[in-house]
Amino acid sequence: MNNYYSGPGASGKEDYLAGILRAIDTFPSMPSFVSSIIDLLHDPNANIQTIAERVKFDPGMTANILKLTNSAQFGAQHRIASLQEAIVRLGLRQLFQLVVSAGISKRMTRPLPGYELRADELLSHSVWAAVASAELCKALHINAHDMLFTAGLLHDLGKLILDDFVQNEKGHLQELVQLNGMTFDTAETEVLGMSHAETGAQVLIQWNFPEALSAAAAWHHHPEYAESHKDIVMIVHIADALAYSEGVGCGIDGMQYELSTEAVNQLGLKKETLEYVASQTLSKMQQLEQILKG
Amino acid sequence: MASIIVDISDLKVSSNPEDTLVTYSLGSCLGATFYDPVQQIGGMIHCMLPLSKIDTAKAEKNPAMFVDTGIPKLLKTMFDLGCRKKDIIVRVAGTARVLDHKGLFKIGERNYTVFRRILWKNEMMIAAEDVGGNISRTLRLEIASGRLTVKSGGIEREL
Repeated sequence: MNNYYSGPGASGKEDYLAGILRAIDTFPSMPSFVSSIIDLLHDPNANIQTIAERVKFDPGMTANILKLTNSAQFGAQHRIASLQEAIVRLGLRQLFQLVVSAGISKRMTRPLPGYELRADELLSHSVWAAVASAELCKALHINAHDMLFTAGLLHDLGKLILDDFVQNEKGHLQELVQLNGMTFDTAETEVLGMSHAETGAQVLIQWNFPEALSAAAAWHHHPEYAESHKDIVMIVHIADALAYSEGVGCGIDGMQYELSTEAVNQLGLKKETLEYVASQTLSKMQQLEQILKG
Repeated sequence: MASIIVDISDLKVSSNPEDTLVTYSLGSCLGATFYDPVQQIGGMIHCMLPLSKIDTAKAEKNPAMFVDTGIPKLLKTMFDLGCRKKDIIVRVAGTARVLDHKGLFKIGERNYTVFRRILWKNEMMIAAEDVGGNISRTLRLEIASGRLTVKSGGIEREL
């Protein structure tokens, strides 16, 4: 195995990789309550009534779903007051997105010292990417994939696991980025054996989440390599870059990724579109972030 | 000492010598500070985008989102508090960009250009700057002294 970095004090890449794989295995699944709702959403025998009954067990979740349904992002035309109505209005795929958002967002509020993200910064970044993904599709007149919002929200999930490892090897990672001109995710793979992108994708595969979500996480820095779901991967890639460009959840790595020329060309993206999307994203994102922080 | 946070698309002005104005993670956004040592009044802005024509309704509601509406608003706020143009020290930071060979994300450069143009129209000069590159920056302005620091990559220096 080609071990690129072997400076003084460097723990072996194999050791790190084994540690990361263990951390993925033991990474807590969604709260059991959330998983039980997700199972119901995949159950062909479940109907709106049974799903609503289950969601109602958790008053916090019920309140969040109503708030999210009525937010500018999910765009209810008139105020929706009951859970049943919200589920009918959203449909099951959208409901899945809201349940996942409400279930995962609290975990993204802790500070990540390895990536130098303060409390709430990973959540801001993730919500920005989710909202900007939806806004990009609107501005480019692309039919949004029905998992797009969640794909944006979960693209950096792997950072929750990799943070300790990045903290441990921060000096080495920064050296590779600054002196050798590597992108941050390439440096992660070189030093730790796995990038935050792959790590997040592994977690999503372990959770049996739709493949579009693990593809978006795995390839969000290199959409040109994605073998499936390329549309959603490219959109999340641009939304992620825009979040960094606007300084949302930048950390030490934010400005150290490369924009994919292929994605830009394929989407026919222009600077006016980008700036318009940025202006539309901020206020919606702030509203959602407040709801998700609870 | 109170830290007053200037959010993204936000501006703050203070005359309280106890205050420090702070803005975090300027990527391609433009962070500008105006400081009047005579009145001991300081202002800071964190603009996201260069031109308000992208969305004039948003600019109306929140002028600090755009450089071309935010900077005049900040200047006017300070003039209303009795600051004089000739006393104001202008410093600017940020306007970085992501690694982008196509130059699509030139938002930072465009922010800076529009900023220069507005200052030029107002016959004002930049006293100090830390702009460009691909780093994220944090700015701190102490109202009592006018001391401005820029922090990036764990290193803080005075501007």
